[in-house]
Amino acid sequence: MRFRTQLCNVTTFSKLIGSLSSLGKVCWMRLEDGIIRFTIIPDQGTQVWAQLPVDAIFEESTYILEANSGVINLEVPVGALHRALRSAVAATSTQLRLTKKGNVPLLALTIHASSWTTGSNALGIADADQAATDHATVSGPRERETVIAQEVPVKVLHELSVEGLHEPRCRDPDVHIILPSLFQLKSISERFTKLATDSKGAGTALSSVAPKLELSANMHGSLKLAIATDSLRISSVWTDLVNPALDPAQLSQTELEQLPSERMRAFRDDDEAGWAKVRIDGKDWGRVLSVGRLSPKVVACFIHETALVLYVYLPGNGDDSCLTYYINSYAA
Amino acid sequence: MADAPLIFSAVSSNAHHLYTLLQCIGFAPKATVQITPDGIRFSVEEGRVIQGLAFLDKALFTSYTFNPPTAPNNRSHEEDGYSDSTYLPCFVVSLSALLETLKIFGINDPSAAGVNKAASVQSSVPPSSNAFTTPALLGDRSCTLRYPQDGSPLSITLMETGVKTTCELTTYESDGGDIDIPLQRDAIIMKVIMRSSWLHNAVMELGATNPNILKLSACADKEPFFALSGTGGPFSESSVEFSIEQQSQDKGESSQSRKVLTEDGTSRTRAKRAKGTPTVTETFLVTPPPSMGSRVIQNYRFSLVQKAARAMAVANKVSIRGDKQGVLSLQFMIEFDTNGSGGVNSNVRPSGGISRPTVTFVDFRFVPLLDDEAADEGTVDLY
Repeated sequence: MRFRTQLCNVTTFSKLIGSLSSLGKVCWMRLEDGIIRFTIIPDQGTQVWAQLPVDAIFEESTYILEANSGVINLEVPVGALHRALRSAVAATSTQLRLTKKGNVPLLALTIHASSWTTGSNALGIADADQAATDHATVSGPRERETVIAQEVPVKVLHELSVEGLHEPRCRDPDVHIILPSLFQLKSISERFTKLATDSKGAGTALSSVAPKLELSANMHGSLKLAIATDSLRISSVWTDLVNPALDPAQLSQTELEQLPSERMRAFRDDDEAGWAKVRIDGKDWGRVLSVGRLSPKVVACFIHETALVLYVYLPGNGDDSCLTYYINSYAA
Repeated sequence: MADAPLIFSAVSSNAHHLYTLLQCIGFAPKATVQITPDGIRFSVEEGRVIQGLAFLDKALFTSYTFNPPTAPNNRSHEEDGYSDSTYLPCFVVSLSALLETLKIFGINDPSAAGVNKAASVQSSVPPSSNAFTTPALLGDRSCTLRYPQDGSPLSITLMETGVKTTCELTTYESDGGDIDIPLQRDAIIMKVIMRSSWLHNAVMELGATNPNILKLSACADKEPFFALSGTGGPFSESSVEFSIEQQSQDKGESSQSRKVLTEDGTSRTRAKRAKGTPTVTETFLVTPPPSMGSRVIQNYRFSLVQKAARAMAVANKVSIRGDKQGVLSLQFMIEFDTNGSGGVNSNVRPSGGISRPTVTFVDFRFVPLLDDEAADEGTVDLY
């Protein structure tokens, strides 16, 4: 079993792992020929199924994968990997490989970084006498190379142990819509959650129950975020958003017409029946929205009173890199 | 919306102004709101010993509509005297929620998480428009306050390109507990007007030693003419005296206060001057009745006065008044540069003709500690 590669897009990789780490402690990383998958299935909360082409984060020419089944499944502590990647962000080159120390399998990062010394010697010590004798020929600042080794202990998962894990299956969405700026959405969501928590804490002592945000959308470009408590009811409405068209190549005309989203589109834009609504946990939603740091395009699929599925497309990779978030709706 | 005319609706192009004013009195979670023809009055109180009052003048709004509802019950006990069968709507809303709502847009202030942390004011820069809050950037924003019917929620609508946020705050009936702390206007024995930042600096300085009691001392003819001191804390006592300079013409300028800070009242060298007016003050009047001697000394709970710190930081000027019974009134003047766009009418005070800042006021009143309470320094159970 062998895995070795050079990283080519450390910033993206680091942000991706960072946003995954907010949702769960461990991540199932599946390395295949040409495709890398990251999956987070927490005990409760949002599931993420991410799929990226190898060249989105790794240099394809250096990507070496050898395994009997052609696939390596790893259980990776995402928090530790994220911390390790931090030192690679400014590096000149970074290598990632699967190795072993004793009996513990590791993901080893070898990071080559260079920095400029301010002094006239390699260590940057401004000792005039020393510098004069040792480095009489060298003057001015020079480049210094640093090699950083980061090791993240992982578990190698047998194919049998991941066999039973499947991506959730949902019925066709009632409403699909492109979300506005996730930063704005996140800051407003956080305000709402805070408002609800504050007013609840002041009123009753039931602060153990996290407030539920109501998120709804229609097929006429409107998205609504709302929360209600005894002392207030607040909502933000975005208008003129895009309801992306589905790929007509994949569905026949009659299939397209029978989609629930087409039924929803038939309602007038001021009709309450045209809105699909989900109730989600404010804190969990905030963690999901942390993916905004990748500045992706996000299509939200609303399945009325059931679930919210987010398709997060990373910029610059077409539709090949996609993170799918499955968020369950809470009952009213 | 309904058949009856809206009781109240007002549009502001700058939610930041409203936020700045209301934030000054953000020490309590709930505020009593009264809508008047001239503006909206927000008052908060705590334990009947501190009262904060912010008045959102109608000049702050680009449009201001108020149709006083007519009602059979005669509730016109207000000093304004709107008695002829109409009354001014009065209700209680969650101030913390209102502030949080106003913060959603228009305020480039991601770090200001806590609303109620009045004591943690850092900057004393008046929030006029700067590079980040220029009216041009805020041009497409608007903030609408509405109170359609008696008993309906107070709704705040914030519009920004593409997003519209509506917050409906449940209005609670005022329980009648909102009785103003009485300031005897005909028995004012002390009146000091000065730049608010001096007071802010002084209170911040004293706050460092975490005192229980703020002692205010003013005298027209003997030193120290005007001094604030903190006593009863876990550390030593400290005091801030506003000194007198020989020449007072450069009042309020660079060579201002020379605050003399002493620990435990040790002696200090100071410039002497015949007329007892601290350099930082614009007005300094101390006229105690003969029974009190020539010096006015009152004690206040320091932690309460500290709740006004945010107002001190934001305001331009403060008028410090005390009446015969010791009630302390701090009236803060806050100027907004509405850039000539705001004022519907008269209430804009023209100053120089070029920019006409809108002058607004935030008031605080404090009940003094009585002598026996003050002597009993250890206890903090006044309220």
